[in-house]
Amino acid sequence: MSMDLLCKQAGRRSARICVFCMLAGVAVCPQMATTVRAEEPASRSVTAELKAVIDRARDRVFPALVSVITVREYYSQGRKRLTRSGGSGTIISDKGHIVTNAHVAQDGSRFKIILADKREIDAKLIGEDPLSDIAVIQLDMSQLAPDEQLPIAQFGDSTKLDIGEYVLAMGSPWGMSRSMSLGVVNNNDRVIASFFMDDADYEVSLGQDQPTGSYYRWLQHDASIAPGCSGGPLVNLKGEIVGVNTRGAGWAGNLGLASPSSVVQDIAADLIAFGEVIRSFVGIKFKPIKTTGHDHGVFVNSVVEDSPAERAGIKPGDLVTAVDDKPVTIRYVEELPGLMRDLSDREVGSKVTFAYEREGEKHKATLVTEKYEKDRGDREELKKWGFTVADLTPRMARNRRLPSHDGVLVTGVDVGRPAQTSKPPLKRGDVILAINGEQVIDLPALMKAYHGIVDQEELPKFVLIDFERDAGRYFTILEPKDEEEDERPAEVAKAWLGIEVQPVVKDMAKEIGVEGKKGFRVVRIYEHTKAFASDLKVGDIITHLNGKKLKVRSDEDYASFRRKVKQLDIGALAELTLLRDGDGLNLSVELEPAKKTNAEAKRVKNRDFDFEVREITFFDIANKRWKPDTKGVLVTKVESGGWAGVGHLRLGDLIIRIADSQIDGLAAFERTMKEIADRKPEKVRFLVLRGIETRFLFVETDWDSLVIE
Amino acid sequence: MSMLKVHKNTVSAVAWSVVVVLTCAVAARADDFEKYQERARAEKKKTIRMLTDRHAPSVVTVEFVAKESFMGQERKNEMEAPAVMVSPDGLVLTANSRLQGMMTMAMNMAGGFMGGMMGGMKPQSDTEDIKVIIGEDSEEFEAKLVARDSDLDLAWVQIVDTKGKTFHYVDFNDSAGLEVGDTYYTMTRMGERFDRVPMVNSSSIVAVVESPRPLLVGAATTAWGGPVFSSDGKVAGFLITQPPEEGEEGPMSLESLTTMGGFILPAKKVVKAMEQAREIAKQQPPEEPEADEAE
Repeated sequence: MSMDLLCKQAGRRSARICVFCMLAGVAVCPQMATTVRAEEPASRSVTAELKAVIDRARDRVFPALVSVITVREYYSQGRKRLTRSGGSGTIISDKGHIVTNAHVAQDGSRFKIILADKREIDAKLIGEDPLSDIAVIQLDMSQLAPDEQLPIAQFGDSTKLDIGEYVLAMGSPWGMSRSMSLGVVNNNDRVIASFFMDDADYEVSLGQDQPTGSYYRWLQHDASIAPGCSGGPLVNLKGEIVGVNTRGAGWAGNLGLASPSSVVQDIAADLIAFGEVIRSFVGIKFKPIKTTGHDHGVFVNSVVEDSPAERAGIKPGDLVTAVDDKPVTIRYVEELPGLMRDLSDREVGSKVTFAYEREGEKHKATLVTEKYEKDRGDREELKKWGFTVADLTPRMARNRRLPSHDGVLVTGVDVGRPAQTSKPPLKRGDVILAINGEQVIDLPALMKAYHGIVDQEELPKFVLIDFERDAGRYFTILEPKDEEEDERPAEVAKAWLGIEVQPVVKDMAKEIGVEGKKGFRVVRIYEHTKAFASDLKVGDIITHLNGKKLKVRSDEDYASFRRKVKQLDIGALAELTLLRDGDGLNLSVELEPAKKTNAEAKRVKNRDFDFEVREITFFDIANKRWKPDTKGVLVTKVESGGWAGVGHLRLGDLIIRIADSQIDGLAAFERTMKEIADRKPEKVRFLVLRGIETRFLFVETDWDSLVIE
Repeated sequence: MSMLKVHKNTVSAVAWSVVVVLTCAVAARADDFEKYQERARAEKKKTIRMLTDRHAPSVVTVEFVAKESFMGQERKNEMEAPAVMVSPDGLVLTANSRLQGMMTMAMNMAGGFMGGMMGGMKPQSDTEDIKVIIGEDSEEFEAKLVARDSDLDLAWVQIVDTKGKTFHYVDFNDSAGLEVGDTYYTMTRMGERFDRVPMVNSSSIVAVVESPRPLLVGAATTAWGGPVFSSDGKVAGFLITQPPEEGEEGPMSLESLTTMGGFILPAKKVVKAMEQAREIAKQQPPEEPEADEAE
């Protein structure tokens, strides 16, 4: 579905408004559109009034709208990697608290907030709640003026929203900051379920071991949102936050889903106060009775092992009819989140009495709620051993039917690294139980054991790892070793003539006036070579080499001349017979050692800034037509979430200077980067050559977050 | 008895005699041929056993991790390559093209065809974590790639920690020549699953080429990267591959795609390259072997 985008410059320093109004407006108010076309004064007045209402609503929230840039650590294939992502948020307190989505802040190691006036301020995570997909981050207030008053947006009551009511979605779609769209509420009690799904499967997830959406119903609307709008506010025409945009449903015609403010407000308050949301857990998964044949109650679909419900005697198949003597009937899936929330909102340790029916008989069971455990444990990378792990929570252990949550779960193994080449190799899903005979109960214990080994001066030859796999208990021996530096072996030197040639065969020969002749036409002579110093000229056609006639197989045969030269000795004279302007000529050119190619160039990685460079070669200078005295190092890899990537260093940049140091090669580069690592400045200035222009890049650092391995 | 009758009997007797003689002659030839074949088989069996006894300890396997980068993606695979020990101090020769990742190898083998499909882009392949595995006992030695000759498809790996041993090796300075029609033998080791037993194949030289360089061409396209021996047990060359260079692809044909194996670099050419490789290896700083745990 396409929508006309109408962008209007507001004339305000801090705002640009994009209003998706054409289709939405016509869809909602066909009379309005018809009336506009008729150009009656009443319709113009309605339009103007609507515009005024929208403007007021916008102005109450827009100043508090922010973009959230997250440098995220994610774990993939046995490695911790960095990437950057963007979302949106809203300032909700004078202490700089910003409400956004948990999936925007997820795994964030650094946060940068772009305020309405475009200032960039650092922020930190206060708390996140994947179950509601809400997080709170807080601005670093020390970066603001002491008496500065932050613009704050207010929450409204989402329970009072009607279907069809206008709402505004604000955020940064596709990274285009400070955007706004208009739509209406399509549904105010949405669960992610369809006619074709089991109604017990309405829960979605943010990732493995991270369910979401169990306790709340979403607000569904059609104000256009896109990636980048996550975490941004859904605003009513009073200018109040009625939701936080969480996900889009592009497959459903560009619909959006928002967490309702009735939920968000409470969650945000808990996160600010406690850093987490404390919920009660009973251990029952319910199913609506619609398809069960029952006409009252709610069906028990499953009971979690060793949960309060199981200990109280409740079993799958029971029909719960009342909770604390209050009758309960859940016929449809939309009614389930309410019950789940009612139970989870109770104080941890409170008693709950369930009345239930089993095989026609009535029963009662009283249980004591427990604290809802964290779904997913902390994660880490064991960089030198090439694998990643996650701390086992009781929930994770239960999901995998492990006997206990002792141990640490292997979540990924990097190919070719010590974990994968250990005997036998470690695999994803293994649970590490001991290192060199010392028990590993949890992640801190594993990291302590790991650093105790890798931080030694001399690494041991082997490490013995005790692990569980598929209910079996195994040992593996891992050979710890430092990651190898790039040590490309030297190529055996070959003879080289500093020219490039083009094959000349029948048709070409005729066209260039040497009909009947075959050979290799000189198309380029590299400067600063023996060939350049000789009498050889561009346009000469070489027909013989050392007295032997050259065979030219086809007009694609570029390489055979090069091959013939390679078979000669370095320092020998290549006797060339050539044609020039129709005349034969003999010429001798000394063969020199072939120049190093780009593939053979030495490379160096910098792990602090997460990028790789290589030395420049003769061919870089020749092919890029740089000045002969050009010096520097060429960027060959940049991790997008690393400091260099965030600082906009790019593949192909030629680094000329770093800070005050001239970079004339790899040695200077390594020396300078070491000095920077010792000094730990907040910003490092790079001067690069990109294309034909020089460019200064100011790369920000965060030495505190760096774990030196 | 009439003269005619006598004449007829004589002709018949002569004819039959000729038939008998010819039959005996053919039978004798067949018998000779079979005996020849038997001798050839016995000879071949003897040669293979001799080669195995003499050279199997020198035929080794290089195990390594190939790291490939292509279009922003990186991956690593554990790989193996056939190789041969060429000096008692642990210098090992293998084919440079065998020390690459699968993708790089496949693209090189397919030559310009694949390169054209990929818009001229090529994967970058690096070799890490090299070990030399010797014998059926699969004794492992850490090693380092010290030199390569991409043009001749040769690479040299040096064992870093010899554990005080001197190794069986094939002396390429004591080599034999081969001509069209000669039988040659190749030796490699089977994989780990088969206990790395040595395996000998034989074939014939079917051509000698001068372009792109002087090479012998064997009939069988066998796995390349191992030594080639003559019938008298001397090394005659090394099996390499000849992928087209950039700009050398030419029209696509089965022949242009078939660059795997079957090309033998004569031993004298190997020796020349090896001298240069040794010079390069000497210039590199020695690697400290890892300390063993104290007993």
